[in-house]
Amino acid sequence: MTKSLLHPSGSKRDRADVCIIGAGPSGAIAATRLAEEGLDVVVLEQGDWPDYSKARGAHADFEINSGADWAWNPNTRRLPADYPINGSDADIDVVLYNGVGGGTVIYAAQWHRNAPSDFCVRTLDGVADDWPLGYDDLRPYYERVERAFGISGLAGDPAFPAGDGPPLPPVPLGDIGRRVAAAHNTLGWHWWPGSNAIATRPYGPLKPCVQRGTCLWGCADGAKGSADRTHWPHAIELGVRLVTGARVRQIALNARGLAEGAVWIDREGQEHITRADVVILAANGIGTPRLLLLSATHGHPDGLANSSGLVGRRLMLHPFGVVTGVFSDDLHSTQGPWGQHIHCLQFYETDARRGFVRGAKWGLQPTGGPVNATRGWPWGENNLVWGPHFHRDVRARLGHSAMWGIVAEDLPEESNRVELDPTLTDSNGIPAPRIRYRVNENSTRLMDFHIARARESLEAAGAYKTMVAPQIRETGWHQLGTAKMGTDPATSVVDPWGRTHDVPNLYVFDGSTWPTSSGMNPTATIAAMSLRCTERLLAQRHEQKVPA
Amino acid sequence: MTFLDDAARAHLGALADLLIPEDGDMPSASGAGVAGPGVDAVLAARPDLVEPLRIALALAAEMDPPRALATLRTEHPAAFTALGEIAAGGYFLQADIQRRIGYRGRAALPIDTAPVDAELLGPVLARGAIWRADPRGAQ
Repeated sequence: MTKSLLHPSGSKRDRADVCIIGAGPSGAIAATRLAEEGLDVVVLEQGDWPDYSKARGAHADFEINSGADWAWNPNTRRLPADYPINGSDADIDVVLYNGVGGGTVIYAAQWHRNAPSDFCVRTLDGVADDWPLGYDDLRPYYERVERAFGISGLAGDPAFPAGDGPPLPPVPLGDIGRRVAAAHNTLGWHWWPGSNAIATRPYGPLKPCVQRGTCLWGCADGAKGSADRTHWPHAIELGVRLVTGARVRQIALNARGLAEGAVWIDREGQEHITRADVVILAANGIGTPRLLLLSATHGHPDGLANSSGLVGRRLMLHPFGVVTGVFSDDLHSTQGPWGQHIHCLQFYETDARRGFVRGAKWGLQPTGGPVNATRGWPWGENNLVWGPHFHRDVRARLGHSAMWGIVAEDLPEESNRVELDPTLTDSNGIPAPRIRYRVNENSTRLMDFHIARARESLEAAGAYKTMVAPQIRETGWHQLGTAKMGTDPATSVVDPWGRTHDVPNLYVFDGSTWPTSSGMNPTATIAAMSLRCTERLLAQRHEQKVPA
Repeated sequence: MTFLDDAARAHLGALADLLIPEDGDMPSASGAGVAGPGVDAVLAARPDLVEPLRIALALAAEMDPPRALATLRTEHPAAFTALGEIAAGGYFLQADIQRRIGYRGRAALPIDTAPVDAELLGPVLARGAIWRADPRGAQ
């Protein structure tokens, strides 16, 4: 028996209770939780299920052929579900995955809660905006999503308030982690065993990691906590109707200004409409503003839910830098959890003496095999090995090196934005997103500082040489901020529970809502926010305005 | 690859040898077959590298290999990167080359979940909390 938002008697109707757009982590969490309460949920996903038979991690040629399906950049991957992204006016390329599981299919699985200060940068540091909630509001949701995703790590990290830790023990420190941890103890710097969405023991649908280091290219070993494994099978068992190959082109609005449902196109080009009492956008920080802008009407000429003018603006992409260190000893670093062995938050908080505000998180990773030793990633384009010293330099790097990946907080700027491209379209003729994004002065100073400290870290650990890839272009994994959350409709798109100010039955549950970006890998907070917003929607469902 | 005739393979070998020269017991790129079975295997797996390779080979047909490589690097960086992928991929995918450098691929390694060394963690804990509280209190 199905209960609807306004029809708890459960009569079958011609509309769903909830239509969710996007089957990534935020959509998966919302769908599962709503279905647990008996709601009728339809999820529209333009991509397909990831086909792990195409993952290449166990193949001998993995290093040269990690698989076209797993390319990070949709402009390179070009699967039928991928829409092109015009990044010609951006300093960083957006990378994402369109399919069941969303970005978690290709994320590195580094898993971090935001720090308490991340929610109040205006109050603490005088920049940007505070979130209309705090760490304590999210803490119970963090704990629940960490259990759902099978997070491994260690409780007690002094960079966060005390509380429950993840359900699984951490991945091994590895030779590189032990070496760097000892160095940080000498320096008096923070480090902690890595926190990852990587199972270290059998856990629900997940198998223990076998350390191939292939997290970023589809984990065929079944160890990575991606939503296609951790949520979707259960959600479907609960009755969620997941429609793949469903490319949404518009949120339909009725005469009363309520969302009527989603108009979408199937693989054969046929158009459909899924009607629902409530529509939830879970299409990431690019797809969500794109769809809101595509849904402009006569009454909403600048896009749906855009009376503030902020839809698509304030895009934050987390500039990413890498520092590698080469050691004399064999540290067995050609593979391992990837992921991170350890993380460092020593310089995460603002120190005004540094000449910038906010900070960055570091994650220590292996460096891969011999082909990887020749690449600009992670070694830097100025440190290529070609020529007379090729063999010497490859041997020096292979298994004898470690890399710090640096995730830098970038502050919101309205000029960094997602727009509709005037000419570029997807395969259905729907306007593609165009990204305008410039790394600002604060981020540049921040990255320079952190690179210098990361070099010191690796040198203290015994590296005889360090190299820098200062800002790698194809690293826009984290798309945040393009439908800002707040209490004032004049300066925000959604309220603190993801409901758009302008359309009372239209919600945004993905990373678009973040007022500021933190310097953490965002999936933990995206997941916790989705769960929190979903439970608010459930609690308020009898007051929910619906179109019919 | 039909466009890879003998002349094209010779040009590729010359370029690749500048990237991966012979050194002691390690053969050069061409000596290891990068311009033969190596490039065929890489392009079969990575068809996206075909077009940038055409750019590299067109330059190599017009000028001597060092100049072609320098021009490629400065004027066609994406094609230069692709040439590197072909050279390194065609070279290191070979079992004999992997054996010589002691590389065994990405093996499945059981994960160790032994407790983290308390002595190593001790100094981190001893320094205490490093996070800043939210002065707004509960929201």
